[in-house]
Formats: sequence, structure tokens, C-alpha cells
Amino acid sequence: MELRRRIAFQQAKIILISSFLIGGLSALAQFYIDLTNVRAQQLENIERSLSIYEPSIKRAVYSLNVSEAIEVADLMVSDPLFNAATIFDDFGDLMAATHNTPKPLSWTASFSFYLLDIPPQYQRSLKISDGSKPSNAKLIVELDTITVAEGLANRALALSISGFFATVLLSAALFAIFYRFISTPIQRISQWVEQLERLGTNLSLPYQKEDELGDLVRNVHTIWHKKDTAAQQVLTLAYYDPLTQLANRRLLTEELDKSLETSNQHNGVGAVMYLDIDRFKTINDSLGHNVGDQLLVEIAERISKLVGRHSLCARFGGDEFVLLLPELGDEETAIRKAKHLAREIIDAVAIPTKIERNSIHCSTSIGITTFSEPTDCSNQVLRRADTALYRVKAEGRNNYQFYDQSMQQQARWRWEIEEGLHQAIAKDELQIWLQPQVSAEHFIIGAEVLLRWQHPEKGLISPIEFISIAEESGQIDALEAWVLDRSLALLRQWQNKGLPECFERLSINISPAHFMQPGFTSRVLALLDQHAIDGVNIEFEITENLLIENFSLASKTMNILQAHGISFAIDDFGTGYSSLRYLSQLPLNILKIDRSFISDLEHNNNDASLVEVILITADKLGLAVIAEGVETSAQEAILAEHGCKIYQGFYFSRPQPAASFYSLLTAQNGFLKLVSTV
Amino acid sequence: MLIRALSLTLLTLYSTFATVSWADDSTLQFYVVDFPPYIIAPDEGDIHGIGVETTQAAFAKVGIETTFSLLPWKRIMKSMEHGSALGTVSCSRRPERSHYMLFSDELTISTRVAVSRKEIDTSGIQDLQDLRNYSVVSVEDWGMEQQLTAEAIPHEVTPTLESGIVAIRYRNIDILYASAYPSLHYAKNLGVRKDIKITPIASEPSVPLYLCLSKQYPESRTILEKFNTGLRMIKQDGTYQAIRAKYL
Repeated sequence: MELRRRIAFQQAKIILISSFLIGGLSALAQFYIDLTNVRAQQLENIERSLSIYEPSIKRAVYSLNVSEAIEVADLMVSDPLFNAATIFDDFGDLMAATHNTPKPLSWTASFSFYLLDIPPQYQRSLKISDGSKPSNAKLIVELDTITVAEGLANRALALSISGFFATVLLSAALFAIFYRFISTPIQRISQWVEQLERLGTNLSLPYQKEDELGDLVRNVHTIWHKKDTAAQQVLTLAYYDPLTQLANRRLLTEELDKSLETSNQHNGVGAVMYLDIDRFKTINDSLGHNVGDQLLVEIAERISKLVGRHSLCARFGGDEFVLLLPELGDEETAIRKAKHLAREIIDAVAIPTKIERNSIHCSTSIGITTFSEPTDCSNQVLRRADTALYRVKAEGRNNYQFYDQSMQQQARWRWEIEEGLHQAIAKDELQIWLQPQVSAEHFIIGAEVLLRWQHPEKGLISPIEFISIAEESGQIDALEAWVLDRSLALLRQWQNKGLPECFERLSINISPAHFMQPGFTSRVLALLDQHAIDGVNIEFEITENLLIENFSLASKTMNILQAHGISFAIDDFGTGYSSLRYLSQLPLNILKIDRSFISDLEHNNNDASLVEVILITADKLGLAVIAEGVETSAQEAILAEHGCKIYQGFYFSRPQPAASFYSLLTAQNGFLKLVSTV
Repeated sequence: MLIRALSLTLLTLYSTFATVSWADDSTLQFYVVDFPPYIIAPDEGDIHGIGVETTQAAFAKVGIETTFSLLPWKRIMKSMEHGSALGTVSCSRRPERSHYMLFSDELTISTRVAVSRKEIDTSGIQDLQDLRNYSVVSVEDWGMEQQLTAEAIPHEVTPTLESGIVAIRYRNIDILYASAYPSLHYAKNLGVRKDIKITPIASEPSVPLYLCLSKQYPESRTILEKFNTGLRMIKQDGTYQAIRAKYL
């Protein structure tokens, strides 16, 4: 740092200027006081000297003693105070006149004499009393200005010089002191602060005295330590999951990018595992988020213990975990190791977890992908692993699956469907189709509303292909709300046009996700009020598992809706885990036998038996039964034999667009003329 | 005889008139120096002496009172020159004084002598120039000192006659050129009368002494005439002689 920028220098400069100013003012004051004193003193000296010589002069004048007068005059000018003396007797005659050779006057003495304001010449009248009338002799003296003023000038000069040197010395001394005791410590402290960023607060304190600088150092140390701690916390929060202390998405993504780069350089193969806890939401909702969090922590710990030191385990959010397994070797070795680890994880997660008073059994689904391609990036790798996970989910969970190319196509298909669904309603691509439900007499007594999607590029898409996607992407609510609204609107429209009397029900599928939505009841009731359907039962088809998983809420919702005229049918009955108690306690109206029991009815006696049991049970419970998937007359016959009275299937009619269905319904006043089918 | 009486009468009248003319101005003030026996100024008591008493008697004769005060000689001279002092007593007539002084009739006589210690051989002193052979002192600005100056005779000066006596008695001064009677008077006062002697200088005649008046002083001439009148009167009636006898 330049010397002139240092605090010590600045302070010394200030002190120097201040000292000069103060010293200057002080010197001026002192000079003025000195001037006043010198003036008074010199006037006194002059008066005193004159009074000393006056008697001699008077005596010489009285005696008219010229020699004595000259002698006195000479004596006066030998006095350094006087430069010349002239004596006139009382008759006006010159008695003596003496003067010294004028000495050159310095400008300081001249100026000082000017300031003293003493007259250079003094004239004194000396009264001579000789008995006659008193008369005055005259003494004229000239002052020696050098003598009078030199002292003052010399003192002023001495004062100025001494003051100047004193000020300079003081400033130099203070500069040295400030440099030693302030600038140097501050510089040391500055260097220490500079190193804090690099070496942290482990450095010894550069200054430990109990003064302001010491306080500064200690405060900086404390603040820096807090900053480091906060930074560490921020880093932790930025890169680690606060619940499980595992890495978070950001850290794993960054590490994955690094691994990809390393993998490309070394031609090694790594792997990424994307896993989540099966049905974690159910556990969370039923046992509470506190238990859910503890479960996550426990699972995270188990998984962490299984992964190697060079691997990274991250929690991506919710119940999703991602493992990064870099540099596993070649492709075959990587796959082998990944499989082994996946199995270990599945087994570890399967161990029951005791939390509070709960013993929780859970499983995990794992999607795995390897990475080795130069073009791989973290997003692609994660997407592949996620796609693989999705396949595991689709295939029953509690397993692992490696990614293959077909998954990508499927994933892409799925993405296109998901994206398309967002605009399907706005673009009016959705269609209401209906499949007739017929009585034993082949009258169309009702219909099941089916949703079709006329994709502009893919053509007609079956709900089998997009409903699950809609459910997973959260769009099912909007779709079913649209279906409900359009269905009721259609029904209202048909009623206005005219419906056969045999048509008495319209069955609409409601997904569990939609059914459990807050506000579902109110929205349904609003639609009912809006469309004011009268004379036709609106029937909601719900799944068995909805009842099992959400019995209490389902029961409450069903009772409310039933009170407003809604009927409920259990769809795909026989494939779920519902109990007879559920069937008896819930406000159900219909059981729809799943098509799987019908498809091989002619040849499978077990299916026939099951169908018979279902029919008997339904009858006992006062529930109607609809057999789904009836495709042959033989199936109809067997069902009829067992007492089934309502049928639905291709044998009677395929699903039809709404307009076609209405035409079919009203063509023969509800009677369905069968077309010859197998 | 008749003329004399008539003169006296006229003088008396004149004096009376003269007296009447400045009677309101009180007494005539004369300034003198200590010059015994002519003028004796004691520390206590009135100034007296031959010259003083003669002047007093002479003016008294014509009805004028006088007083006498001491002043330095030079001041007396200068005052008279400027007309601020009336005059002095027992001063000698000198050419340089003539332009500003009036001199009365002779008042007394002063003899100028060489005063020395007794052991000094003064037999060779006949003339003033003989003093060159000696170390000489004289009272500054007195007539005798001025004479020495005029004669270019080297000499020392002394402020008073008394200091001159001291100089010749105790210092390395051979001769004090002064008046005889005053010198003897001071020597007697100093107790050294027996140690000194006086040597007349044949070339120096006795110097008459006068009453000197300032020409510039108002009516000094009138005063002088009155004095002369008075002096004549006291000389005639024996007062003058009695006064001399008192001191000499």
C-alpha cells in the first residue's frame, strides 16, 4: 500500500496541519502578548533611562556645562536603547548632539519596530529653575530600533523556528507511533482477514490485546465463524436433504454430470437407480406424516449402508431415492453389480419397520439404467431410470427393472398422451361413447359411459391407453368432470328428445383419485342441479380397491350422493379385496362382474361357480348384478341360468358414439336387435 | 562743595524717582557664585562678602533693596546675555562680555596669582607664559581660564576653585591660576593654607572687579547709574572702606 494512503500517514498529516494551525495561532497569540509586553517594557525602559539621565542633563544645563552635557549625551548613546541624543539649554542653544552610526536594520526588526508602535524619537522638556522665571531645556533622543525591536524579532523568529521543528518532530513521532501501534496491526489484521477466505477461522488471531483493535479482531473472527457455519448450513441445505441427510437432487445431478464426464474419459460404465417406496402415500395418509418421515429416515439409512463409499445416495423428494453408482466396470459388471445392489435394497426395505407403535411393512420399486454413452447427460440418465421405474410400477412393484429402448418409446408415448390430454378438452377431441346394458329381454335398460379420445394424429385412442396416464398426471379429475358434465348434458338432451321407458340408468366411471378429491361431492351435486336429470338413475361405477383403501371417506361420500339419487356400482367386482362387510355397510346398488370371470365361462367351471356365488351374494344383499364382457350367446345362457339379468358386452353391442347409441336406443324403442356375433 | 551737595541732592532725587519707577517690582535680584572674599555663600546664612555688601550698601544708599542668589557662572553670563538676569557682582571686564554687559565703577580689585604647593619652585614665574613650564589648572570659564585659553597655555579645567585647591594640593597639578584672595579663602577652609603659597605674576596686573549688568535687562542703565551714585556715596562716607576692612 502506498505510504500516503496509510492511516498513520493520514493521521500524521492531520496532526501536522493541525499542529501548524494551532501552533501558528498560538505563536501569533504569544507574539501579540510578547509584543504588548515588549512595548510596555521598552516604554518603561525608555522612561527609566530618561529619568536616569535627566538629573545629569538638568545639572549640565543648569550649569550650562557643555562638556558635561556632551558627556551625558555620549553616555546616553552608549546605552543600547538610544541611537542619538541632543540637548538644548533653556535658552534654545544646542549644548550637545551625539549619535551612533546607524546600523543596517533587518526587515524583521523593522517590521517588529513598526508593530511595536513606539515613536522612534523622544522629546523631553526639562524644567530648569534658576531663581528667575522657570524655563525648559530640551532633550531629544532617537531610539535604537534594532535594540528595541530585535529582541522581539529574535524571539518571534525563535518561536517560529522552534514551533516549526517541534511540530515536525511531533508529527514524525506520532507518525512513527501510529504506524507502529495502529497501521501495522491493522495491516496484519487485513492480511489475516484476507486469509480467512482461504484458510478459515483456524488461523490464530493476529491481535489479542484488550482494546478496540482486539475487539475488532474477535468480532470479525466470530462473525466469520458464524458466516462459515451459515455457509455450511446453506451448502447443506442446498445440497442435502434436511430430513434424511442424504444428498438432494441438485447434488446428485452435479455428481452425475461429473461421473458422466469421467466415464467418458475412462470408458467406464456407471449406473443410476431410481427407486421409491411402494404405496408410501397410503402409509403417510393413514399413519401420519410424522411416521412417514421417520420411515423415510429409516429407509434412507438402510439404503445408505448398502451403497459403497464412492457411490452417492440422494433423496429426490417425497419417497423417491436415486442412487449414483459410478465406474462399476464394463457393461456386464455394472449390470451385475446393480442387480445385486437392487436385490439387497429390496430385501432391506422389506424388513418391517417399527415406528412408535406401528410395525410397517413396505416394499420398493427400482428402475435402473447404466450410462456410458458420450452423449449421455444427467437428465437423460435420470429419465431412463425413471422410465424403468415406471415399468416396475406398472408390472406390479416390489421389483427392479433395467431400462431398455422400448421403455423409452413407451415413455415417449406416455408423454405425448399426457401432453395431449392437457389440450384434449379445449380442442374438443374427447368423445362420449356408450355401451348398452341390456336386460334379459334384450331391452337397453342402461348404458355405461365410455370416454374416447379422437387424437388428431394418433386417431381414436382407447381409455385403456390414457386413463391411467390421466390418473397419474392428475388430469383424471378434469376428464371425469367433463365426462360427467357431458353425460348429464346428453342425457338431458335425450330426455328432451325422448327416451324409451326401458332406459333407466346411465353408468359413469369414477376413478378413485377423482372420487377422493375434496369438493367432489359438491361438484357432482352442482352438476346434478344444473342438468336437472329426472327419471333416469345416475350411477357411479367405482372400484373395489377404492372402498378398501378409503372406506370411511368413501362411505361418507356415497351416503351423501345416494341421498341425492346417485346409485353406486362396483366395477370389476371379484378382482379386488373387498369384504362382505364392506358390501353390506356401503350404500351399493350394483355389482358388475368383471369380464375375466365371463370370458371363459363356458369352459371354466370355477368361473361359473364364482359367478354363481356372486349372483347369490348379490341377491342376498339386494344388489343388482351386471355381467361385463359378455361376448357369446353361450355366456349369456350360462349367466341367465345362474340368475343374472343384466348384461353388457360385445355380444349385445360394442361401445358406440353418443349419437349412434341414441339412434340404437330409440330405433326400436329400446329393444336391441342382436347382430350375429360369436 | 556746593556742586557736590547739589549733585548728591539730584542723585537722591533721581534715585528716589528711580526707586519709585520699579519700587513695585520689589528687590533687585543679583546672581552670584561663591567667590570669597568677594562673594561668600555659606551653607547656612545669607550670601555676603566684600562685593555683596558693597553692592548692597551702594544700592541702599539710593534706596534700592537687593537680593543675591547663587547660580552657576555660565548661567549667570548667559542669563545676562539674554536679559533674563539683571547682573552679577565682582565680575571682571572682558571684551567678549562687553556686547551684553554694563560695567559699574570699580567695585574692588582681584589679583591673579599662581597658587601652588609650597615646595613648588615658582620663582621663575614672571609672566603668564611662564606657566607653560608647569601643569596648570584653572576654574572653567572664569576669566583666568579664558585668558589661558586665549594665550594658548595648556591647562586643565576644574569646576570650582575649591576643587582647584584640591588639585594642586593632592594631585599632580603644579599651579592653580586663580585670584589670590579667593584661593586663600578656600585653602583656609580646606585646612591646607599652610601647605600652599601664592606667587604673583608680575605681568598680570590686578584686575578690577565691577558690578555687571545685563544690557538687555529693562532699565539696566538706570540701575547702573544709581549704583554708581550709591557707590560714590559709600566711598565718601567711609562705608566702603569699612566693608573692605571687614574682609581684608
